Amino acid sequence: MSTQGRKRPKFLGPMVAVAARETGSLFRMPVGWVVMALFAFVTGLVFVTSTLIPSQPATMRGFFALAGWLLLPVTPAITMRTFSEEYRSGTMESLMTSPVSEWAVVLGKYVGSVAFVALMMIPSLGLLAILVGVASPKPDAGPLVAGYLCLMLLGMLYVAIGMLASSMTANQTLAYLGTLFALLLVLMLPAVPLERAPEWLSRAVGYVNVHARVADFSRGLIDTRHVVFFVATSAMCMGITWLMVTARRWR
Amino acid sequence: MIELQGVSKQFGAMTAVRNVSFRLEPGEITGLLGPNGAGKTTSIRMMTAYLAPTAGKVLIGGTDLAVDPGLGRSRLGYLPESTPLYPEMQVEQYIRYRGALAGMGRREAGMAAGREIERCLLSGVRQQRVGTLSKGFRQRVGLAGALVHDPEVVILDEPGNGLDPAQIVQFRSVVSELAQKRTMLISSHILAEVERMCSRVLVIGGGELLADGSIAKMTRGSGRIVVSCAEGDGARLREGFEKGGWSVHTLKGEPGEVRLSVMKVNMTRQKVVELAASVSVVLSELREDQPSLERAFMEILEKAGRGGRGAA
Repeated sequence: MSTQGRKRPKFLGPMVAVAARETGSLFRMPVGWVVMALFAFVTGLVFVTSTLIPSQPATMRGFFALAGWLLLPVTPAITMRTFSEEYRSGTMESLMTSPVSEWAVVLGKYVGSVAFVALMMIPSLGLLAILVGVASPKPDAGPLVAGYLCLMLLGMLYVAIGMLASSMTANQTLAYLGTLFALLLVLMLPAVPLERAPEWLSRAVGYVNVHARVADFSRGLIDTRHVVFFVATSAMCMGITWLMVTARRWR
Repeated sequence: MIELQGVSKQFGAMTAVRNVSFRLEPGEITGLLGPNGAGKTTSIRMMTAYLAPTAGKVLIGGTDLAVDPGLGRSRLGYLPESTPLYPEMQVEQYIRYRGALAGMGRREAGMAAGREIERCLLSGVRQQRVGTLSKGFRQRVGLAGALVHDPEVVILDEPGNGLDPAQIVQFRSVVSELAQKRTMLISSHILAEVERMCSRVLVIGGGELLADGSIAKMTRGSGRIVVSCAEGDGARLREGFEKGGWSVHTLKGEPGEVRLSVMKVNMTRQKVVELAASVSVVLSELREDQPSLERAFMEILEKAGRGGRGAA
């Protein structure tokens, strides 16, 4: 690269580099392998004991339900490092003084973490292959596609919330607990009695009812409104994360 | 080229940096000195767009960092003080990653990483994990990462920390080579190193730029003549110097003795002896201290009332 006539830094290449480092670093340390192995073991065990039962319908519904709950403690373990570790170790200073935009950093970390969630699902394809091999009649494709899509959308939302928490603190434990409590709050919100609450509040809480949306997916329904909800909420969290990262310059 | 125009930074009610202006040109190695908490790191963080100034402008190669921080940072290579690295990455992998962050493709990043591995003498550890390296090697990995995109401006914060004498010699030669076509700013506590490597020095104290000039200019007048006499004669000798218009400092002497330091400007050993004789004082010690950056630095801080006893 010439020192003269230097070009404006690119976006995509640096973003992919950040994403690759983010995913790669999880596999260069025990945490990535341990999380993947535990996820595969628990889902595999439940699959064998509750799905592979003669005369039961050939469905992965049990796996999807369990995987959805497992994402709750697992995703914060993936995202707690994203920013907190960079703040703690000082690498954030090197990163943010590199010719890479804040958006490329935030999106790169997001893509890298979501990619890890996707990789966690890969061993379950083996369970699916077993089910397809032994079941008669064969399982319907619709609920399977909807189930995996739902897991990925849940993963995307959880990662976005986890990264937001991580961008606020240099303490990984705090980032983990903050994410876990935020996710529990989101999931438990619809259970709050709102009979006397204003209508706008009831509607708002109804809108963030993740359970109802997941229930539709588990029936094999892919409703674009649900997809838009997960994507838009994740995008909103990413926007706030970007603000948190950028605001550090203006302390 | 890097230029600061009236740059200030406030953290709440505290002013960390106040109205600092200077311009550094290519081919120049400049040392940034100041006691702990003087505002060096805050100034550097503003020069690297890590922090935004509260007032003023920072220009890198003519680009205002507030207007286009991305373009400004593409012209900048920065090694932070603690050399933060990813311990789980291999040396070459890390340097290539830094190249990719600068927008280089795989091939280009690979070639640039190879060049920096050669330059920073990392060939023997290129496949080793960063977390297993000694501090000296980690410092070199950080430097290679900062240089991989061939920046016009290089800022190194405490680069000599933790290096052994042989590594310091190697580091000095790398810096000299880099400075041939780049603007270099080195913040360091090791004044002797700054004196060897840099042609120009900026001194920051209490967030203000206290001095800016060549080392020759800064050390001029920092030479001293040190005299000692019996405690009872000290006041008389001091008064004699002051009457002659010479600047005198009292130094710590042996018990029962007074030790004075006189600025060497327009002063010779002969004149000192004559003056002592004229006030009937017998000198027990008379020696000359050569000009040095350390002394010049201490004097700048003392003049500014910042206390010259802290580290640089």
